[in-house]
Amino acid sequence: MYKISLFLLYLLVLTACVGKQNADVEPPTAEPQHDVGNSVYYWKTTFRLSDEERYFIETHNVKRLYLRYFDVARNADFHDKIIPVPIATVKFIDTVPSNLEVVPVVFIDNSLFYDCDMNQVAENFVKRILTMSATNDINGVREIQLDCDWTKTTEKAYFDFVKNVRTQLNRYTPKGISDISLSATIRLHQLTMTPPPVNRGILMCYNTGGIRNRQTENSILAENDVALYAKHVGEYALPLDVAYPTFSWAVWFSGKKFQALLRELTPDNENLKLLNNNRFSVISGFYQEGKYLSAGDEIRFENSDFQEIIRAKKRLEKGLKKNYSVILYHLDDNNLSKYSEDEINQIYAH
Amino acid sequence: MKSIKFTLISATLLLSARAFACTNPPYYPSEYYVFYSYDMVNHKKSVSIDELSLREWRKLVGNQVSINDIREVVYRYPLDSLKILLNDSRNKNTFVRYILKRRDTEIVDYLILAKNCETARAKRADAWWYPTKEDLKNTDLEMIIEQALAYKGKRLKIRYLLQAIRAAYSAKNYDLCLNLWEKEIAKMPSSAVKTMCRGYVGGIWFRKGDYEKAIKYYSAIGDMDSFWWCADNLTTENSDIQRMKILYKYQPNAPELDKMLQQICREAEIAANQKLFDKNEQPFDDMYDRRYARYIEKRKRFIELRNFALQVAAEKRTANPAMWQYAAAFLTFIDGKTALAIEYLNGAAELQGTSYIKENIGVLQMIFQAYTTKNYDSEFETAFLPKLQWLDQLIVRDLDKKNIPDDDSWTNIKESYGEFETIYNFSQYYPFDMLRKILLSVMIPKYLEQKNYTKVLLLAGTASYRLRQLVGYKCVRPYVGYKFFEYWDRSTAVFKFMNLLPVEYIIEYQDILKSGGRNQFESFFEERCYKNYDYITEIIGTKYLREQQFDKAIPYLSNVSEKYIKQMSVYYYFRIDPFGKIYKTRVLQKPYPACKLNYAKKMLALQQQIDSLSNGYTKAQAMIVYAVALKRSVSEAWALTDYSDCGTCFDYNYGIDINLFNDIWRRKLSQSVDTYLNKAATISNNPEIRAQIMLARTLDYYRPTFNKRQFAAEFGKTKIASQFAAECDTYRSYFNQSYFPEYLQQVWVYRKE
Repeated sequence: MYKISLFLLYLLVLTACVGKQNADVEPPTAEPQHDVGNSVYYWKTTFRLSDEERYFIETHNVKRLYLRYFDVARNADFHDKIIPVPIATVKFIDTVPSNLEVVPVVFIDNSLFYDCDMNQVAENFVKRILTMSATNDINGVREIQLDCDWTKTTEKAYFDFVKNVRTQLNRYTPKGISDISLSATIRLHQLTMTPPPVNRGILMCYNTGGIRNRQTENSILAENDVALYAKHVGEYALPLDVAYPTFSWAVWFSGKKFQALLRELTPDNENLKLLNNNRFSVISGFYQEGKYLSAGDEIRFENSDFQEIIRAKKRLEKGLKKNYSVILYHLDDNNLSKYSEDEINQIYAH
Repeated sequence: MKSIKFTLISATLLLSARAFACTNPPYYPSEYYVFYSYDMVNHKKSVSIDELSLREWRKLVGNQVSINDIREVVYRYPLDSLKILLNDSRNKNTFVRYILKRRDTEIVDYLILAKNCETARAKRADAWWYPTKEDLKNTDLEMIIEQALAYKGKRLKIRYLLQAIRAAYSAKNYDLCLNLWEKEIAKMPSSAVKTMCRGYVGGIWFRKGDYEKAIKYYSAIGDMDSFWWCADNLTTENSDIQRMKILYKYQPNAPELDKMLQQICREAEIAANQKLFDKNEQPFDDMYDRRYARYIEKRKRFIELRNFALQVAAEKRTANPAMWQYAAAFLTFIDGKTALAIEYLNGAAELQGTSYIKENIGVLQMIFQAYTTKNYDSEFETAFLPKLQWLDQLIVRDLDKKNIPDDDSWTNIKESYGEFETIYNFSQYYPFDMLRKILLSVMIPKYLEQKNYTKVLLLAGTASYRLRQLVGYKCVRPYVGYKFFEYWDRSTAVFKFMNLLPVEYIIEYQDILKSGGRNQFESFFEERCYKNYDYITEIIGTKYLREQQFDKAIPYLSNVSEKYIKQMSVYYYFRIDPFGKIYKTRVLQKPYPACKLNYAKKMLALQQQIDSLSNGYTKAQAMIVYAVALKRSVSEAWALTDYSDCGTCFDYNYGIDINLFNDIWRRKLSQSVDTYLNKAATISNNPEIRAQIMLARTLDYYRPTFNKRQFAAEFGKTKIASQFAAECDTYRSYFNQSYFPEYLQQVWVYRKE
């Protein structure tokens, strides 16, 4: 009898320990409610929807808005110690349409995981997201998304932070409200790495090429780059949604070195001369977006080509499960106006 | 450690671009900065506004309460402690005791309100804070404003208004802030708290984009960080001179202007002063030209500053117009217009200015006078002497001054002076730097041109020694240096000139040091020179050795103490016997103090022998011994005639290239060696003599020109060849090769001996 009691006690202790372990490190288990539907990112610092953007949301039956709340960046305190701080917080001019599900997104500078203990700000991080939602009448948040280009070196620190965010979410989510799930952006190359401890992943099917490399044809999207990683999609341990690009930009090189991205420069600028395909040369120096472009500098115009998106999509679809959502990056009438309604429908269709 | 710290800062003050591996960076005296407008030593550190506020608290509660105790309660006590303050009867804090004694609820209520205000504002200042809906109503801040404005008393009125302004500012109720300022606070007497309020008003105008208004408020409170934020918004021109103009517009007496002025003048000075002061320098790289090219490149900017400085001096809005005119004069001088610069400077001397600037004007006037006088005659010397005396008085006066104020870890020059300060021309302190610059970079080149070498030595002696004399420095290692170990005796400007100038001037210099100057001008310098007669006498004796005037060398060398000779760093190199066997490259001996003296005596005896002998063989023999010793005195046994074996190796103490003097005696001495050997060859045809001459001619460290095969073939039968073979294995191999087998036996005989 004594031995049986001892054994039961042992089992009890063991169970308690396992239970505790589960509480600390919650592995991605059952997926909370996640409706499949057309989605779009909102990545500006001011939330104000134009008529065209509202029309886009309605026409394409957009159900979910991935709204960037703020970035977490580096700053230095009085003792020159690196500290993480929120920057570029979105300013709400308009109210978010109530029929849209909002997923707050926070971009985190990966270098912070080298230089400081991010776990110390996990609580502030969660409280800020929840307060922002409450203050701006964004109700029914069911998911929060972390956007970080983590690497093998920062993997552990990042994953620890994600777990800590999970713990803080459990602590601060008002009682009676269903659990808020966590999602994370997954770059193509990260498909070969251990998945982060979140409920879902959003596969970023853009920024596939080397932006700083002068030889790159189009760093936004190239089917060949996608093809390299497409085979890993099916075996990836997290349920995935996919984000496709609908943006364009100009990549500025001077002295053969990458200088900056220019989002407002267009190929019809009178100071540019076509070299070939999407490459232009500056023939006369001029100011653009606060920067001075000198004669002889090179500009590479990049856009998200519809056909390229469709080809990449076909590559990825083979490995994806049926219940995934397509997200467009990002909601901006200037960029989206370059696509026909049918083209947008084709990107969303699956 | 203090010395190192001082040296480091001194070194950084002199931004020499010269770089050398393994040594400290050396400077030329020409590189000492002349222009100083920012009086770092006498600059009064401003008291912080918080500190002033605490003083006002103390005024309110009385001197029995300590400032530290007020600080503790006002800034560090948490809200909970303040709430129980009136019940905290055991508290020993004098401010708390004051409150308890009087049951001063008025102060306690205020402190609680201020703490609440601080908490509400701190919450909003946190980078991670995002307002809740409740926060957006600013209920907490509104309550603070209400309470603050409800105060009807007089004692803490302005402090309550400060809290109201703070809370209203955080709540973005800028109209309330401005109204409180205009209607109430602006009319109150000046105080630290009023200054604090003024800062918020400046902040409001800044936020409203009215930078003209904002900058006036920031100027009034001396908040320079905020001032520059506004200034940057008031101009599109990104230039420091433009910023100076803005600062001058609002704060014509701002200490920052002194600093900025100095900074730009320094920039011009670094680029141009070598061009002005080291005209004869032979730079070993193109740094000299590159520096001046930088001046030309930026000339427009320096001229803009000069014109601005003239404008400021003329407007007389500032309390120190002399400083601006002084800057204009200096920049004009740098620009090569000396006559105009003198005119400006004389004008500056008449303008109102601080004593610091007036002194610096005096120094620049001295430089101008020394620089522009063409002939240094007695008239100039008489006129210039009082100015030198004045500068010397400043040197003595500032001897005890701390190098850097407000920092207890910093020392004065007396405590920080060390071995290398003068050797590397480190900047010491302003008057002494200027004395050295005037003497070494302006006056000595003129005296050299006039061939007035005794004056050169007197001036160099003063420049090298004056500060040592004042600080009573005792040399740790009073060696006469060797190679790169630049010890003081060997590395000062005065040594350099003694080493190079003709010996008669060194004798005259020593005579002046011993008997006093022949006039007041000489006496001024004589009193400030290094008077170590062993040191100078030894140099005179050595210079006579170089001149082969051994009879004159002997009395000087006999008068140098053994102790001094033994501590010379070249003493170790007395180990080479100049009279060693002719076929040996070096014959070692134990160094001894009379080495130079004995060399002189033996050489004198040989000279006399050569003069008196008539026998060709013996005379030739004496000539060879003499020539060999002479040759060795500039090669293996160099320590007999020199203080370093690297001839014209690096020496930075004096900027002008005067190494040309250095080779004259060497060349003469080498010619003498040839002359004696040629004569020996003409007076005797003896194979022994011819063999020795061949050995003597090829005497060198490694005998690269000595042809052993030829020597063996030609002189193999001589006694000297046998001795050579007995002691030299390589040479003996030629015998082994059976050229002269019959002599091998003889060789072995010598070897046994």
